[in-house]
Amino acid sequence: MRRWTLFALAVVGALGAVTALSQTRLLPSVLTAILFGLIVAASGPVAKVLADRSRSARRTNAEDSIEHDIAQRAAARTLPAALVVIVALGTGLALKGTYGPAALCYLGVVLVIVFHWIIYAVDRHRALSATTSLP
Amino acid sequence: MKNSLADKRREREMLQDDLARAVGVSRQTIIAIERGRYDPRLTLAFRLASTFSCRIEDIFDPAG
Repeated sequence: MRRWTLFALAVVGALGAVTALSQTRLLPSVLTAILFGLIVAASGPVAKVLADRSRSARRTNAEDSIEHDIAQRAAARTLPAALVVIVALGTGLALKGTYGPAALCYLGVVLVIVFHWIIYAVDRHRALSATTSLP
Repeated sequence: MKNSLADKRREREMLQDDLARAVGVSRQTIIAIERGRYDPRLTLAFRLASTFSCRIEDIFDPAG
């Protein structure tokens, strides 16, 4: 918990410092944008390392742990929710008359569904070919 | 699925955390199995059986 608090304070502090510097106009706007991007991009891997350490210590990342099972089920349930959100976004864009971005949203949904069925078909083929090859 | 994991663990005077460490899962996993809220994978069921030197069906009752 202490590590997470320090991490959150460091990120907020860094973002605050860049914001303060940008207000004084000491930093060019391009450099400000780059710094914001770097802070946000770097915080992702650092957060992952912290999370992995915590999970390893409590064995919640073990494949047979209930947390791992729940995480997989949550990820599976997130897919339809994500698709609904993207379709809603596409519909909103289409209603505003921005048909290009709306079409990209719908194309993204179609691609995700196609990828899902490809992964399903490959995994099914592997599983069934392993069983049917037995005498 | 009904199981006698808690009884087996107490017989060995093991804490939930001890058992969790022994089979390489979180303590919450052991709690959930003992309460019948989580059916473990076959690999974990085998490890639990091995820990108590018994068969899987001595711990888990599929009819329960």
